[in-house]
Amino acid sequence: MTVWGIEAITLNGSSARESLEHLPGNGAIRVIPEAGAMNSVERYRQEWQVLLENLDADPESLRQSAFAGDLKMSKFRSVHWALLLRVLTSEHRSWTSQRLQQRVRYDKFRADYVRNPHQLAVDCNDDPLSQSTQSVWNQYFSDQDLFAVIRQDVVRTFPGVDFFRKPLVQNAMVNILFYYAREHPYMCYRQGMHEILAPIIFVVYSDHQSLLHFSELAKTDINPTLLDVLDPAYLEADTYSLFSRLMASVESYYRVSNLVSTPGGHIEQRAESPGDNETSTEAEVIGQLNFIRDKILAKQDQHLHHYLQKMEIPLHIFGIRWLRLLFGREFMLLDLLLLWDAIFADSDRFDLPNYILVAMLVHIRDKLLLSDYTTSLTYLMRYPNNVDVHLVLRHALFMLNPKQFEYPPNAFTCVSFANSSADKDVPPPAGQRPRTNSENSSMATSGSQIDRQITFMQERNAADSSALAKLQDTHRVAMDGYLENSPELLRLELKNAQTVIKIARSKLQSYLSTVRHHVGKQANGSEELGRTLDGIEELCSFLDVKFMFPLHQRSAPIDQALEANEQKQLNTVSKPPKPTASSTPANAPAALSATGGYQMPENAFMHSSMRRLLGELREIELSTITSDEKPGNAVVQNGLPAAEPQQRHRNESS
Amino acid sequence: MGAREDEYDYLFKVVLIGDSGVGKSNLLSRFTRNEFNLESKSTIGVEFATRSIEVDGKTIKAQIWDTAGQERYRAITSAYYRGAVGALLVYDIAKHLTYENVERWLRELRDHADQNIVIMLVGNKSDLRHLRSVPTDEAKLFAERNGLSFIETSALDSTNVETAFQNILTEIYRIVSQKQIRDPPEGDVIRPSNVEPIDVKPTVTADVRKQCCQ
Repeated sequence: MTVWGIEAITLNGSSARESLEHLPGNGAIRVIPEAGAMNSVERYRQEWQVLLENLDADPESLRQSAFAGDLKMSKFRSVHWALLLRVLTSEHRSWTSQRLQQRVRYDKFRADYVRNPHQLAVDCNDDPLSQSTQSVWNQYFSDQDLFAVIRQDVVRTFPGVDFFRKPLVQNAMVNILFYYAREHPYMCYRQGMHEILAPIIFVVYSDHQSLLHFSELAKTDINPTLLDVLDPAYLEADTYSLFSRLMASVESYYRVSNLVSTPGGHIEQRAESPGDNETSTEAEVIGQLNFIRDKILAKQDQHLHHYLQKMEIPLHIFGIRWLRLLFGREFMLLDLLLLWDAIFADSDRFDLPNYILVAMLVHIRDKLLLSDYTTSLTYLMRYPNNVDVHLVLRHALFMLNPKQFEYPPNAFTCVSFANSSADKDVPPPAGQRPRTNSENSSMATSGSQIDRQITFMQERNAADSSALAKLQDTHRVAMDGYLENSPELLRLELKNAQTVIKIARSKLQSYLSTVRHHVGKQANGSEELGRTLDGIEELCSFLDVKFMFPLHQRSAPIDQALEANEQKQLNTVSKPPKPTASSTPANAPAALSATGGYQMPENAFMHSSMRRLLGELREIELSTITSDEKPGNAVVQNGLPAAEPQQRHRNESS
Repeated sequence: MGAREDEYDYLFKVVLIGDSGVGKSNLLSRFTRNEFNLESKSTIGVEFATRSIEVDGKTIKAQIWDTAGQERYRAITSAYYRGAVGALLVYDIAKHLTYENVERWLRELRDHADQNIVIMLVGNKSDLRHLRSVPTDEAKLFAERNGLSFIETSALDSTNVETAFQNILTEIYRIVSQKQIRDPPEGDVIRPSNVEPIDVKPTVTADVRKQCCQ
């Protein structure tokens, strides 16, 4: 993907329009090519005009556009970014003077920070070998070192993208990073800043190329402010303005306390002090990651939070890179720009990256929870490339502000029923290396098993609902051993119990394989432990629904099981008056939300189908679901004491 | 779960350290995926990869951690070095400054890593013969004086990469084996930091089984 690709799309659009309008009926043939080009130029002018009008009418509407992903095809993304980051104000009539101030200031950096003693009439007392911080020679040699460090990283920027191999781009990047380091000595240059700068210069350059292209087509009549704001001669200066403003928001990700800058500003030494200890050198980003883990993740996904703690996977193992590069290694460049649109739209508080990080974790929770330490860490270090950036962003926006953004209805479904075959089909994006075969096959196997079980359960639920509908239609008489007045209710309750037991069995089996996997790591497996695991497997076989609840078979042992279940049903049915009398409509959603978040899709499905079939018995249905939940959980807890019930608290105000 | 494919006898954590740009990440990718990228990205924070090898009939899974060369004195050091049993200290034979900084990296290891960690000094980029600025003998002598193993590698043309990892993992294995022989009650001395004791509950009794099968 290069910037030329974007222009190629535009040109193809123009060509297509020209060919479409080339009809015999048109008398003025020679006007058609110009008309086609004029249409795309007109759209370009119109986008600019609409931008200015929106700024006059409602400046904050730009943020909504950025949150919604509307900037994807914009030819003025860099201008939107400048507005969102408040590099430019919404008073567009003063943009020319605002730009001028920034450009003059950037030019001054060259005079201030690039001083070659060989060419200057330096003080006779200044020694080329001087170590003094006042020495021009000392500064000169430090600057050479700093340039070398920066260039070493710049030439390694986005290896798969040709744009970043251009000498013009690389030289601009080196200069911008150098001036930033000299202008902000307390920050210096840190690895990663080059990949904060990279998408910015990419977007600014793209907008410049668009302007050059449309200026050539239009020949004349391009808005003078537009020509000035996107003047390609100021690529460095205008990119620097955006970069330094963004760095002001992310500098806490890079800053490390208790470090002293050398005169060059690029190599730090730890201050030698008697009271020095581990705590005093903690990077601020680690405090931020601990906040994200304990205040956001713990609230959004308690099970995942507990899992990461139990596995001793601190967020900063992977989170430092995620935050320092604003997820630049986790998503492809064009997807990354969508995230950054939204991050900049929230630039006054700059909280969205915290929620994006949590959304990314939640969206691979099933992979993490089913994996051992090494595999989990691999997912976190090489984030899966098939995760939809749109889902992540919508989930993050909901967590950021539930009142303004809706909970994405399919986000959780995507989490629960990820298609493992799709994983295999998606080719790794440029620049990312594919996982080793063993890792792929291992993950595909476990994912496939879970997917198959879940699909099977879904099909059984659908079939059961269909059978229940037929039963209701035929008004079938009570069977021997069932209550005569509520055959449908009994059937329904059996289906609920069956589904809950299936889910419990599936989870128990996955817990069992996880434990077995860990046992396999130890040199000497305990015999007692082996018997325990066999006992868990035996419990799984007891929970095999075919054995316990055959739909169309009868035999002595099965009858026994049914009688035992009938006893429980009698107890349940004898209590209907009480819950009905005390319950109110407000209790219904509360009861539903009390169920485990992980099981939401199954329960939601059953709830929906039951409401259609037995609308009048809603309270009993919810009571049945809740009561059946406990036996399942009890079995899970007995089988695997360490397992935590999965809870997920959705924000009730949504 | 692909437990069969992932079974091993020992899990050893090995860390890669050294200045930025000496080729740590390409050593990692060459050993774990047999890949070399002329323009590999700068490492930000931590990178991670695994590969298993055989030593004396035992399967050893190497968990190899790579960090940014600029990350000296950063707070990730505690998590980065925790549980590490080996370290590859990498310098660039064509840049004498990266060799001079080996002393600093050794101090970092002493400050943050287990004192018994096995350290190998690695002179990378041996393919740059005409640009060499660190004589082999000088580095070998330094390694001997500091009790380090020594080898020169080229991640670009694969020279000695396999050997370097094989050697350090074998050396770690020898030490672990010796400890096990000397201290049998200790059991497995080198344990992955993520392993937790499993809480064993009583096995299901026969009575319960009988009731269910009535």
